[in-house]
Amino acid sequence: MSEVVAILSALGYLGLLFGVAWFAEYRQRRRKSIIASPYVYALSMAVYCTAWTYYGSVGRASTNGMEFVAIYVGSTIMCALFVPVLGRIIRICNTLRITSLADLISTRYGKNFSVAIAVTVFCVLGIIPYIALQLKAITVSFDVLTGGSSSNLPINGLLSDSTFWTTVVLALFIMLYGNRSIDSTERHEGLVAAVAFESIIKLVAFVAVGLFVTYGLFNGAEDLFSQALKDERLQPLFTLDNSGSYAPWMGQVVLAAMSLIFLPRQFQVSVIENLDQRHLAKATWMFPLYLLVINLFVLPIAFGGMLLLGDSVPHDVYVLALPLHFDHAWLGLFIFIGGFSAATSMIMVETIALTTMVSNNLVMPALLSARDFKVTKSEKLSSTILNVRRISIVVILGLAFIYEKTIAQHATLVSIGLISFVAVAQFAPAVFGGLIWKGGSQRGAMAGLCTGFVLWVFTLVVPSLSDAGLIGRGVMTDGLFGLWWLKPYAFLGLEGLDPVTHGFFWSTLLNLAVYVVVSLQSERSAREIYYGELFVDAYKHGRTNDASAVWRGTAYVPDLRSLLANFIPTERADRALNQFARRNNIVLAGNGTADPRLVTYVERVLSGIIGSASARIMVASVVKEEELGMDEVFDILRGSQQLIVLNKELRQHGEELDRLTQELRKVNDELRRSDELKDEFLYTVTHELRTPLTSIRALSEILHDNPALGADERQQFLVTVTRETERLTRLIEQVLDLEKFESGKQKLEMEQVRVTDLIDEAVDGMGQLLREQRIELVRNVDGEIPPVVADRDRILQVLINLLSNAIKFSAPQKGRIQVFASIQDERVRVSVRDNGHGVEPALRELIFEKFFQVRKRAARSPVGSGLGLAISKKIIDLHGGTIRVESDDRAGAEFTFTLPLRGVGVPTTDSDAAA
Amino acid sequence: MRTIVVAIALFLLLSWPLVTIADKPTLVLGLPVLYFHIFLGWGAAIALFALAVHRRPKAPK
Repeated sequence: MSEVVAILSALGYLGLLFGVAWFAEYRQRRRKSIIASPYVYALSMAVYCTAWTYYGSVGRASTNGMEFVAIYVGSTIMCALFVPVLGRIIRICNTLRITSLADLISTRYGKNFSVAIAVTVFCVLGIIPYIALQLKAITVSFDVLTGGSSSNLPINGLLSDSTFWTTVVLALFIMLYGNRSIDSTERHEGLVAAVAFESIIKLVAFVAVGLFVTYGLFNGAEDLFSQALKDERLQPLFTLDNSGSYAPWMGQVVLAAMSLIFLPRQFQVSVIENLDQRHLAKATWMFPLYLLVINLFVLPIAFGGMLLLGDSVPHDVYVLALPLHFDHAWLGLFIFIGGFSAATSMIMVETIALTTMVSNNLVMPALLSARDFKVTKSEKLSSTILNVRRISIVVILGLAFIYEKTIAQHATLVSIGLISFVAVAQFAPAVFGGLIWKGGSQRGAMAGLCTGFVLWVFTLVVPSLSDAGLIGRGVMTDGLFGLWWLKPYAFLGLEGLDPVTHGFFWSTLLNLAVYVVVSLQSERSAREIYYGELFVDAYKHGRTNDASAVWRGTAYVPDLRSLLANFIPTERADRALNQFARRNNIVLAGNGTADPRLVTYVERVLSGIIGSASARIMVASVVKEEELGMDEVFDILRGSQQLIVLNKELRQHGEELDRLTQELRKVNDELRRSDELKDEFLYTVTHELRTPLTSIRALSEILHDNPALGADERQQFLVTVTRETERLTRLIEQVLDLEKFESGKQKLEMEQVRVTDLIDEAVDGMGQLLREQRIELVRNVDGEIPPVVADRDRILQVLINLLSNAIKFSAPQKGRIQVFASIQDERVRVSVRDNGHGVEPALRELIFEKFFQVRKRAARSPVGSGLGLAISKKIIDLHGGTIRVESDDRAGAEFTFTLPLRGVGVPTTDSDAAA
Repeated sequence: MRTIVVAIALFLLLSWPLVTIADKPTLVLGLPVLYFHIFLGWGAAIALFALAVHRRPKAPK
């Protein structure tokens, strides 16, 4: 493929990235963030998969088989710890406005300046080779794509070097989207969106080449692996025997687990750019899933490359060389873009993370402490900070470029990557120790870090310099100073391990040992104790530390105000101070002394801009600090914890109050409902009373006003008046009955009663009505029903009411009523079934309420008050029984009540109670 | 949380023994047996993580 097409494609892709980043920032300005999603968060974490994964894994698989997967298995294990470990780190960083790994470690050890410098220097030295590796990957892949040889160009051939121009464009991109604000705690919305986008591109591209090799060049996985198994060169790659034993496997698993937290780019995307701690939960499985998918085709591509290309091209570039070899130029271009994507995303994020560290911990402190450095306006200082960061970007990328042109030429992608992994793993003892052990001290951390780093240089960097011919081979063969126990690959005589495992083992082990021993031997300052407590008990102290202060001395509000205004606009500084003062009940007197909490707050705000170490220097320049005693630190911590306890109690009381309010609301609702029921009841009763009263009054008036009325007519009117009066009486009696039942005044006359006798009596009582309506009635008694203890008249009332209802709702001449009685579960069960209209399911509970009548469904207007079933239910309830209705819609209803055979302790008459 | 810790412990304890059990130059379902087992175990671990972080807390009895 021609160079022009390749260059234009790469530039076009970078333009697309600019577009994605611009769009994300445009959406952010409209408060519609596209990165506030756990999926984008997990995808941004996939910046972990660099060119090292994209190209290097295939190279490694083609020499060591499945061993390449150990790195990703280790990362997967660390993913399980995202919520407990990363969650805690995110919480600490948000609380203390920590902006980088160096800031985190130095803050933990009392905001120690030397620790911050050491971590920054180690990070830069450890990571620059890794950035160089990405540049190398871009160059090599470009050469493979175009058939050129720019990777072999000397460093002085800059203008014709594609790597150089790629570096320049990336530097511009980072300056535009990664270095716009001086506040490092602000999220890089555009950058994160671009990185997430790149993660999708590289995954799709890698899977595409995997499918192409497996199904395009071979007839599926079985064909590919069968051919590989027959090839003697490839047989050893089917097992791990080729790579040795347990040690390298486990070494890489642990190494990868460490790197997932401590690689600056991972720290940047997973901690600093985290928008919501809850996103960690999805990332816990989504990110390892991404790793699994992208690694699925590594072995097929490696075997495919070995079978089809052999050693004709470097194994690292099989991914790209395979489609090109088989004349799939456009697929090759897409694969190149995928690799370009993997490399550029890493370079961008890693450079931003390193830039923040370099600017905050190396350059700015030096600049701010320079005697002749004066700041008059915040705009000037802001632009100074931004310029420092821009220069840092250029320097970091420049160093990586130089490394790529000099040393990286002599190493494989994987070996460079692993050397960087071991470098960042040196932070593990200081960080993990600092998170779980309060006794970890600044001296211990510093000594451990230095030990680890020296051993890293000795066991891994020195050999690579020797390989590059920059130092003699003597140190490798005879040991440093000719001492046998100072050989880089056989430190203290330990031989047999691969170089990376060997270097990782010694550097981390001695780092940890020195950290623990020196920490145990050294005294900690008050500040170290304070931050030790905050880190170890991060959740116990919570975010209330916003209002606590580990500081004593004399400071003045105007000094703090003007200090803050040097970094942010004056009105913003005033607003921030006023809000903090209001939140914590601090009086901001015009020229008065400042509350210690205000001093700590200003330092914290500055930490977000220039890092903890620089912030401390700046604050120290305007205040007069006194040394804090241990007792005072513990008092502050106790105060902080008490505040937490008080907050917790307050929250509990609040929750209790909420619960009581809910209950009160529920009771109120019930009262309101009762009130409505009462109104409804009164309305219905008066309505029911008015109907017969109206009739009685009308007939009485006719009788009174018409003395000449015929005897028959007069007699008929009088019969109606009597009937209406009886109805009125019955209604009043029912209302009174119901009131007695509801108020509990109704007493039952309990005696031994045979239910069958009561059924006979009720049926006899209704005989006339049944005959008039020509309704058939069938009695069905199942065996011998023993007597029950019940109020005879009340149970009879229930039976009559049920039979009366059945007659009312049965069609004349076609009606059929069945009465059943049986024993079931120690209860007498009585059912009255009709073949009327039935009861709708929704009404089956309601019909037992007062004055309910199924008016709409009745073929004719039912006669009655609507109190019968309500009274029946009360009676049965008082007997300890149950009553319910079952109905086949439009095929009749069956009312069933049960009574306990042994009776229940129900209220009885006074005489019974006395007896 | 307990599930995650158990997952890690199992993963650490079993990864190497599992790997060595499958460390043979043969194919299963057309795939190298080691490749097959590692990806299967890896996928299972991811599923376990997903279950662990998204499980609903049990309602108090």
